[in-house]
Amino acid sequence: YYDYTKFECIYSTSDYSDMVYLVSLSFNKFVDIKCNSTEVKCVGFTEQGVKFADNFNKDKAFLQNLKASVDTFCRHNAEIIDSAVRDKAVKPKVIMKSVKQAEGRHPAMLQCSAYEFYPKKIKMYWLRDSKVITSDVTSTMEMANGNWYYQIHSHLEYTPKNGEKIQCVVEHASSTQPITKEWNPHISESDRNKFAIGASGLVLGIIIAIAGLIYYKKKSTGRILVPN
Amino acid sequence: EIVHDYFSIHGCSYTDEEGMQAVDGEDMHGIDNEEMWHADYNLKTGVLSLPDFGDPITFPRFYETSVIEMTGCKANIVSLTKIFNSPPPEMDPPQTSIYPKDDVELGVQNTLVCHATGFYPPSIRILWTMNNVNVTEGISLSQYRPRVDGTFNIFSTFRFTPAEGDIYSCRVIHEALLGQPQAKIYDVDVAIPSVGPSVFCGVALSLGLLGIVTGTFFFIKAFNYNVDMEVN
Repeated sequence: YYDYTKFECIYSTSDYSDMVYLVSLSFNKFVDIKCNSTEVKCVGFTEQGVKFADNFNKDKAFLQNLKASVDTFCRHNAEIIDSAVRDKAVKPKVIMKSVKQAEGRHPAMLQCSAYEFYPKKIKMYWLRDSKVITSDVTSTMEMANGNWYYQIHSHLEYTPKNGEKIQCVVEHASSTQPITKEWNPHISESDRNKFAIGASGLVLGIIIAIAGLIYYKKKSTGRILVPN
Repeated sequence: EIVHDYFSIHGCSYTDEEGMQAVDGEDMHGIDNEEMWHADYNLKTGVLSLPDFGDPITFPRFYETSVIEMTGCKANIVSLTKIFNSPPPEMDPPQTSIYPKDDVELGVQNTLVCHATGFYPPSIRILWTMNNVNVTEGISLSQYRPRVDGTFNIFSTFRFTPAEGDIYSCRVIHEALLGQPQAKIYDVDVAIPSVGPSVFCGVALSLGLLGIVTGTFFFIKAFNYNVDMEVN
């Protein structure tokens, strides 16, 4: 069995006006009792929890502490944490790459990734010639690395067209301007090498073949014997 | 506006099976699902987990408070087990995913993240292999982090340097999986190479080789012709 108590300070406003302090007691996974600083009372969710909650609700000192904790514990700590960590932002590293080439009737696929950003909230979308694309798009949710950084990925299936401009746009708190990556369908370095090697081999083969053929022809036509 | 959740969790586990009265626990403080501080009962001190981009924060007397809380938890859980009449233990198997922390480039050090989530109770083992060989270095494990639904999640990370063709796996062992460890595989297969250039390279080299063979053949034939003439 596992038994745990969870203390929470939940808020969304910068002045903490909506802050609420919650205490939850859980035995064997499910919450048995939950105490709320705004309502200044505890609620039981299981048969045993209801009994415990009744006892807590009769304890005036406990309820006073519950109410006061929203200021002494929650507001105090939240102010420190917000200024030290939560109000910071780390810019994502945005990388676009091709993960599938167009072949016959199958469309190509681009991947846009944003790595190691904070906070978690981010917006990633695709533009084609400056218009937002929503179809043929598959995106992950923000994924946590477990050490305060997050990542997100989006895939776009598309059929390449000449002159078309494909962009991935990322909006994040770390930057006032959206981060834009434009797909440049130039040949990658290794592909360029492959073309170079192939072309070199082919040219070499052609040259040697032609040289051999010419040499043979000269030899054969240069000496024609006339019967005695 | 975004809702924020600054939380602390104090938990302990207990088994009333005959001869297995092991109790261990966790005390952790975090915000928005990230850990800031936890109590390490082996080191007998608090451990900070603040990000490098943040300003420093201290947690004075948190460890001492945690020890008191843990003592209370251990006493309570024995009583609660009786009060709740030893109900069947809740079991939820983990869902696991594996992904790199940063864009993967061959030869550049990176970190693989193995994320197990949605499991209960919070007691899990995560093992790593590289090309089917167990690895023990470069591994770290986070604290159990609570989810809204009462289950937990945990992160294990493994520092690695990608090499083409390497296969990594993280194996998750949890009692709710009923003896079948859950494994997730990560293949180092950087930037699926486009087929076109490779095909061109292959065909061109083949034709080039054919040209070389043909040219050589004609050179030899010309030489033989000359020799034949000499004999005559």
